[in-house]
Amino acid sequence: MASILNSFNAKSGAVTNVTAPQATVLIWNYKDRMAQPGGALSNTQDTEPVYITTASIRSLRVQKTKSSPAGTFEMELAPTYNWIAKATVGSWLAILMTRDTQIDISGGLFNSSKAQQDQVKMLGRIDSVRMVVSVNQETGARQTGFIITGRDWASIFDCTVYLDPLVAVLAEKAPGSALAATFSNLIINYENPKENNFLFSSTECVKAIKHFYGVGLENLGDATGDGPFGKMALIPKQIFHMPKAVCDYFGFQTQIGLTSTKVGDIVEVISGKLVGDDSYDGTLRESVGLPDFYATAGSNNYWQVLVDHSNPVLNELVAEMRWESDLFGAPQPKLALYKRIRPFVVDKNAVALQIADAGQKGDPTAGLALKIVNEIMSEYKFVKKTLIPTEDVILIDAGTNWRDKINFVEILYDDAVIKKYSSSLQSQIKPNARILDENAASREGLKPMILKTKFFPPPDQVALLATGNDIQLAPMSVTCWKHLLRSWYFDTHNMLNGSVTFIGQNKFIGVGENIMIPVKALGVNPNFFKMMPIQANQLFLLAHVESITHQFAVTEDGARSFSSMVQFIRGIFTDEKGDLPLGLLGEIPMAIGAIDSTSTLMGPADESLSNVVRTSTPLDPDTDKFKGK
Amino acid sequence: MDYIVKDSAIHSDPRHFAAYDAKETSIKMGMVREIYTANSSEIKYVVEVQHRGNTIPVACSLMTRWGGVRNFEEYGLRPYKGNPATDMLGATDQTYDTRVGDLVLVACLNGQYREGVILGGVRHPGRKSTIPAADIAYISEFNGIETKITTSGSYRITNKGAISAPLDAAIPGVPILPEINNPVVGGSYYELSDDGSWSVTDGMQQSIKIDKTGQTTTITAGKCSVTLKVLEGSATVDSPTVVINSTIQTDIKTMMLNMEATLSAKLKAKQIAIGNETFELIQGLIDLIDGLGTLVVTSPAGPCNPLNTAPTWAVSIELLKAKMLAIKGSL
Repeated sequence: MASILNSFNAKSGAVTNVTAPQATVLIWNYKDRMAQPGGALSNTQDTEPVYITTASIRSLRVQKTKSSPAGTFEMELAPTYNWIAKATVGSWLAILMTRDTQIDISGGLFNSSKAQQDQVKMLGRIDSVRMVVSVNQETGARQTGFIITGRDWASIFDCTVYLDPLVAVLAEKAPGSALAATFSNLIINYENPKENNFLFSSTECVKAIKHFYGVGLENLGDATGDGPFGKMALIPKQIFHMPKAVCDYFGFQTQIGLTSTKVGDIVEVISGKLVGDDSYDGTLRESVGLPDFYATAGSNNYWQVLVDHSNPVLNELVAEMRWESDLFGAPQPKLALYKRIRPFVVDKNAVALQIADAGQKGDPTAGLALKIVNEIMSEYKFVKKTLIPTEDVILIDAGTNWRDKINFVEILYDDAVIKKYSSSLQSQIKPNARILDENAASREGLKPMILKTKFFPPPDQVALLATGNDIQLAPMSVTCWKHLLRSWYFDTHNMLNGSVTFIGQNKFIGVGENIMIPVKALGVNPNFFKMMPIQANQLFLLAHVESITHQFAVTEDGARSFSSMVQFIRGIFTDEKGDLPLGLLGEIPMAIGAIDSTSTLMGPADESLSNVVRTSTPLDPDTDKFKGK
Repeated sequence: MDYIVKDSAIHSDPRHFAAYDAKETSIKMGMVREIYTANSSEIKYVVEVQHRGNTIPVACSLMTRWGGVRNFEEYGLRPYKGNPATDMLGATDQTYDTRVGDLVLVACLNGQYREGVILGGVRHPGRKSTIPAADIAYISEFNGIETKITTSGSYRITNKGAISAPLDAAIPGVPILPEINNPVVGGSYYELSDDGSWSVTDGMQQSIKIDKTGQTTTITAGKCSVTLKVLEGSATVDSPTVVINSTIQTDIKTMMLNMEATLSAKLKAKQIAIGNETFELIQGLIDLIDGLGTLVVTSPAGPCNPLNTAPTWAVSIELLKAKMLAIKGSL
């Protein structure tokens, strides 16, 4: 039916698509509500399939924001069952929504059914199943409904991890503190870089900490204790498993292609800079430092520990499902923990010019900055992007954002790590660690972003600066990161920010990804950038997904709707590849994606949106007319 | 309604940065486990710090009284060597009093324990406090050198003769044994006593003492002593043997000089002068010989030839005179 309707739309030139959406929730329902005392692990993990289809769904809403690791879902169900009895809290579930494809679960959850990229919207866990009974005070009719709420898979990060470094592998009678011994080596190696350059990169830290959770005692560190964190123990023992049926359905594997049910094994850290469309250089060591073991020892919030070690000045952590092609080209989902370079760079040539300008103004680190920035630059256009067709767009709310404008960035280095050189280095770092847009500050006042970091560029990046192998001088080069920060934070006012609601898409759109919308969805007009000499049908709004909400509803008359809303930031104009169109900045050809920097370029004809039927009148405030032009 | 979508890069959730922003401002107790040289220029310590029931190593520097290039202070703390048998989890003897590492207080730089500073020490449970039981106002010992100040005001520094210290208890699980001292070396001290006297001794037969009350200075070495008395203005040397070796000159000036030898006395020099401002004895003897040589004796037969005309005069008397001239000194 859907294909017929779409064919009709295409022929008739309709501006919207007619779809026949479907939604299904697959629950791998834990058989027992809690393991019985003495029960074996296999019994605890036993699940049975429970399906929630459109026959039971009144509404279904999944939502995820980038600012929090875990997304949420809420579904309102008809009383086709006593869902409180039927669904066990804590059970894993998959929420499938599709606009026009058939959700086929005939294979059964425990057999041949596999997750489909054009259906899955969330892998989550049930937090609560509630029954709501209301009685109509006039008719006495009782209306019963059920509400199931929960969070997505990334809620595993929003938990407590308890690392007890006192406990080692007892059978080996190793010194009491395995972590202590390991960190001792770290400390000593850090202090003696010439003997053994053993600094951890922030990525290595995150990967090691990821390993804390969901992996058993026996696998922490390698057999010889030579792993990044050596042998250590989690007490209480936290081997966090996902039901095997869930892993089978999604095809989760370890990074070396083995099947596993351990969460720590199947969550993959996606790190580094973007080197191509949705392609990351995971080998990049953008920053190194000494892990703060106090942040890991004892009981701590897992996400906080990850953030602490991720060097957030230069990285962002995003937990999201990721679809990649397997060896046969079929989409295969992964549970991804993105620990990737951010700030993204919209125009790398502009960054180079900016650094050159800083050098001309006397910044002694400019030469080094160019080297370091080039090494770690991650281009915005390479962030995974999904095209939203114009005809699917229901509502766009887009605008400028001066509130979040930054005109001053300073990086504060944590001098505890560089004590030996702290006084001399701080005197060098301080004046070079800041960058100010003086023109903006003179109009706006100071709008600062002052960041602190415990990491610094690795020694190989600062070869220009370091003398011999003197790794201790590396911290000074943190000042070079300011140029990336400037390029990302100083131009927010020239980018679009807002939300777009569209007909639900089959494709999986994750937070932290980009969406592309044909600019004609905003109305065919040149107002956003007058000097951009490109055809409107070749122009797209490229925006970053800050949050996404999928809404599925079945009305009382049985009509189904599936729509999505993306809240976006950093909206710029690009061609279909994400490249900036070449325009004129004054008389200088420049790659320009932001909106006009000079608002008075617009004349009366430009000031009216093309989809508004009106013409300019003598009463319009045409400054050029007033000037006699 | 807030139409502007908040950019998570700018509006970060402070809860997620709680660990990132956390500051550990408390002072921790820990035991020095290792000493190592950082960057070939600084001694640093790995201190096992107690933190919420965990033992966590912290790389520490040592706080000293001065931090200058010219004004500095260095000292080495004592580590303990990890012992798998006694350090194992669940070992009943996993207590501080079985480890000889120094017990210290550690504060962190910048609120993070990436790098700590050893502020000082606290009493090691393996050592009993001394002060309540004795007349001691201050006592310290560092590598076998004890410094003690009594409540009455005396001050003594004693070398107890420490033998190179074992890193661990001799017997696993047994509280640390008293340190073994070398009796041959130990016992030397110098002291400012409560009456203001000053003394230094090897703790055996040798000493130097300035007795403020008795106004006497005494140097003693077994049976030998030199006693200098202020009130009497006397200096007394008592010794079975006194040897004075002087390569150039020895002057003794006094009003009255009494020298007595019960057995023998010797005075030996290449030149000797005995006399006073007007008369020198040897010169007098030479003059006497010359006088005798010219002396004309009148015999009953009449005047004789002078004595120096005698053939033997030149052989014997002149030779004697020449020797006297050679030994003659001057005053």
